[in-house]
Amino acid sequence: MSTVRSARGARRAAARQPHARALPMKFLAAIAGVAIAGVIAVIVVQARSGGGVSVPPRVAPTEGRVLGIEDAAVTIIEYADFQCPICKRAATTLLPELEQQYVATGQVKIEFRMFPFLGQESWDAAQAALAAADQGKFWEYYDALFNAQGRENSGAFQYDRLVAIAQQIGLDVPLFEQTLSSNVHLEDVQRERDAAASAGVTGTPTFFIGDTKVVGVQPLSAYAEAIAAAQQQAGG
Amino acid sequence: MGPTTVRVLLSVAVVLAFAGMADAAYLTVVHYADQPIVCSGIGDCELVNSSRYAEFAGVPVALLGLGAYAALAALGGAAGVRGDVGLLAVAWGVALAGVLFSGYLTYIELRVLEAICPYCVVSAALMTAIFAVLSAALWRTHSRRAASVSYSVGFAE
Repeated sequence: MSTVRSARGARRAAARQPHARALPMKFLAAIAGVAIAGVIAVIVVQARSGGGVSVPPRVAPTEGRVLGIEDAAVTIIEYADFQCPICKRAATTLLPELEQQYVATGQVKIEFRMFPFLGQESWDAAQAALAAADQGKFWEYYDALFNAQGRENSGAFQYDRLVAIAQQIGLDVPLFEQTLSSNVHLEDVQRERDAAASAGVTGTPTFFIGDTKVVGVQPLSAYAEAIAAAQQQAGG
Repeated sequence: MGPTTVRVLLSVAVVLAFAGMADAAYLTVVHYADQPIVCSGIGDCELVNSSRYAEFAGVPVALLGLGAYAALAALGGAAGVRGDVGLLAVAWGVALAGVLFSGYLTYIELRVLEAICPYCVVSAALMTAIFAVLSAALWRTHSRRAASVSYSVGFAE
């Protein structure tokens, strides 16, 4: 029996005996159904997670651009760019851990400084954050910026969006717009960026913990060690 | 058009699955080890592999792919050795899911991230090829089994 004929014959035979074909087809349909449903579920879950992770609620007090209490023995200075995805990772994963373990307990305070280097929207976001700081809501703005982060210079931090974020966190919008559009803080941002550059900052986020420079988002132990060293220095 | 053809097709699928494993393993390693810990200007591959789409529930998509290819190699191999059409059908289902998810990820790369990583494209192509080969194998067993009318799961003589 030739193969082609056998296949045709098979189909005819199956047509005569629907049961012989119906069952495996159902089986295949079930498998296909499970596969399709599984993929759809995965995609929906992933799409629903929105902007990925977001900044968790704060557990430590804030003062201006400082997170923590004024007389904490150790100061961490973070240089970051609001458009940098790894700074967002720091804001959503690393900093909350540090905040809980060291800042909320009064041992450490974290000061945020600007190192915009990923384009125009980095500069605009940095100035907007300082405009929010003028109204005493730097950290609220910081949270909202990282939560709204998009692709670099994709419009996520264009003027209208920055204003919308200001509105969202309850800033005085006309005042905010006035501050932002008149570039009041451009020089401040420039100064911080220059200071960072001369301190050897080449990427973000970069942390200065006492005398130690910790670059990027590393395992918590890297920061814990630097904090311990700084604490020892401050104590001794 | 007997079990030999099906075995050949399954062998091809297993070989492709191993290639997919290598590709996905590379991407997984990149995701974990080479994952940039600091921003200093990001290349396309890193961007794709470190975007929020690169992980699902904390599991890197590359690792999911590695698992899928490993499952395909195991299922395809077992289906060939044991002549089990049920395993073949399950492998086909895994490949179908893989093709659909690869399509989704490619869409994300093109439309959302506007960045393409060659290793991700290779993975999508391999998954599509595996799905095509398994579909062909399934079709062969299906025709053959129907020909014998006697309903039995298996294509081994």
